Amino acid sequence: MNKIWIILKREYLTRVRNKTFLVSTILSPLLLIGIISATAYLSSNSTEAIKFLVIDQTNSIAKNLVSDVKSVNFVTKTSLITDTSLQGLVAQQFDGKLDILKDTAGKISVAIKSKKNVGFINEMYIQKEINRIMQRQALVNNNVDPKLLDSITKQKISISTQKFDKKNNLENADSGLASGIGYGSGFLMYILVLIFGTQVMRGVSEEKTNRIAEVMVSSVRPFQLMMGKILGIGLVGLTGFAIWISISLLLQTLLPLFLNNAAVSSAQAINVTNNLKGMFTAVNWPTILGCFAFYFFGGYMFYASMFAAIGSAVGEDANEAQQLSFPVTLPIIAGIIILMNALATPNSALATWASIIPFTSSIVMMGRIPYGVPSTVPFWELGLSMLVLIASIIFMTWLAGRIYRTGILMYGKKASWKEIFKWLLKG
Amino acid sequence: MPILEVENVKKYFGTHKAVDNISFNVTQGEIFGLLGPNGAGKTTLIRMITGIFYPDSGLINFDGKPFNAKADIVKIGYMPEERGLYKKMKVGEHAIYLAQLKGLTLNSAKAQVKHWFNKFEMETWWNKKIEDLSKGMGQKLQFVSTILHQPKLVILDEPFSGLDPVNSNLIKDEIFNLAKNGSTIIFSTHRMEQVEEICNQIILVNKGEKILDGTVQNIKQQFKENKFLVSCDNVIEQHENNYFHWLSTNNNTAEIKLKTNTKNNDVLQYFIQNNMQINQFKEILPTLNQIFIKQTTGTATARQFA
Repeated sequence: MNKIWIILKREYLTRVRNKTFLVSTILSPLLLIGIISATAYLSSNSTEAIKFLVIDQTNSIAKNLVSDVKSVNFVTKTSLITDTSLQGLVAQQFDGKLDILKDTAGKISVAIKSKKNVGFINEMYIQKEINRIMQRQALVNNNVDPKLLDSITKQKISISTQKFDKKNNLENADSGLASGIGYGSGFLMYILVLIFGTQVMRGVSEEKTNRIAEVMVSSVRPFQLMMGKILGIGLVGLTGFAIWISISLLLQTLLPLFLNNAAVSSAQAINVTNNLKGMFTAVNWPTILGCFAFYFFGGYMFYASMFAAIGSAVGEDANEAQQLSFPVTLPIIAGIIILMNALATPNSALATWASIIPFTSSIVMMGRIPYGVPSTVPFWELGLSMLVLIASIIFMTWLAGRIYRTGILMYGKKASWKEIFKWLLKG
Repeated sequence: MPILEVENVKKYFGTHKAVDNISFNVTQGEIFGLLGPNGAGKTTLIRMITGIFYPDSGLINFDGKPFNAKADIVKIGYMPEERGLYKKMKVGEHAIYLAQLKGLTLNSAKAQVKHWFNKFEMETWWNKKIEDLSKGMGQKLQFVSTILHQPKLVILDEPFSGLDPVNSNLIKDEIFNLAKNGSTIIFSTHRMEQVEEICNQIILVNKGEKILDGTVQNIKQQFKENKFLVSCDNVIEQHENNYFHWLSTNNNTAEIKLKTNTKNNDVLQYFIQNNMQINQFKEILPTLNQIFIKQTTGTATARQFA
């Protein structure tokens, strides 16, 4: 035990003392936010609108078409435009033409001819516009005032949802917020388990290839060496997590001050702080964060031991590691797919079972927990999931230890799955 | 008293007999040579002695009791042939880390590392990164790390490979020193000249089996071929005789091989009778290198000693 502690301390300190740890821990959330907002900004700005010449046989639709500045630009044909051949249109800076046709039976159809692909979203927009105009005309034809229609469609009701538990205590339930948090934490879990798992794998194969392993196993049991490394790297992950929480707590207290001091109108500031406060009260943060810490460490431990076993089986070639680790990453990816299902229907059988089975539980459970404990995830499910995870960790590390202790001293070519299986079985 | 007793130890990997029924004893304070060509099973044998592998069958007694990896591991210092260091660590940190894993407390580890760094003139390296060390420097650090917890049994696998003569001598002297102070040293190599110089007792392993066991002197006696070197003041004349064959002559010196039942004095008498003034008459013993090559390549003859 003492030796595991000494190894753990080295693994932890060499990583945490490294400047890159501090920089990447602080920068990576900023980077993530940056990337998300950048892609959102770019996708809303980058596309150039497609310019259509509209040739309308009905004479009633074209004049009501509303262009979308960012995507579709409608220009109704006037007598000035004579050349409507495709080449002629291109010469006149059009991207294509939109023919609104009416057959003898009065049925209206639309034909689009363009030099580049219109795209699904633009096509939907055009369809929606024409449908809207035709519906309005139908209403007018039946003596309904369009203004009345506008006032009807502008009406929006608000939904407030509350859940009640067995004692009929009501609590606020915000499905949007819950699924947002569930998505965020489930996805984060997926990334973290993969990142730190591969770190364990790399660390082990490094120890093996630079031949320190043999020196080490003459002083400690291979299992101690493996556990020390896994726990040390796991603690590095938890440290990063703690730093993130402290930063966000700091922001939570500091942000309102900044907003109040800045030259923002006070009404806006109050609005923002209220929204923030709402976010912090509507959701049971201590439960979510506590569970996140547990499932991060648990999910990590479960996979890290497998990654350690694989690291011990490969040599210097990074490709070998990738090949061998593929079967291990598969269930993690399955977890993220099931997470999507769990976010939509947190109580489906699939979501429930996937949050108990240890291969996916850490990711899927984090998608369900924000919906509420115990209202959505009963205590027994949470408890069972945690117990199963702990038991599987013990089993997995035992299994991985058996592969590890042979693999770490085997040089030469990479081991096949058959050989790894043999190491597992032998004495 | 033997500090290490190995009895009928076997270790098979599948059908490959890595170590097949090997027995030997190592006496306390001895420098013991474990010899054998590449792939003979030396490393596997050492791994069983250091508790890294368990033998399939057989017994290993350490210090009079059955070997217990957990308890006895700290009394052994092992420097493997395939040895590495953590490249990103600092030299001092690394030495302390390994010492702690050998059961030393942080303070005594620090004290020991300082002591040995002084002795080996390595004090200035303390804050250097390992990746900046030369191969030889790294090796010195590994040697120090192997012995600084004052192990009863030190196992060195090819300790001199890659060292310059100055550092080789430094480590050689320290090996003698350790033995003088009661540590036992198992020295594994295939460099025979070092073995003749350092070891008292040796075993030779080939293809997983022990083929020789004994003191260096005894083994040489065992494999002597009754060859002698004679040198005289006057030029040697070759005559056929009943006592020996001429192997080679070079003016004043000759190598001869005695026939069976010839006594040394018969040879001397021959020279005297032929009026040659002998000034040197010396038995030529085979070098360990010759024995080693003969034993490991001529497998047919090697088997008869198994």
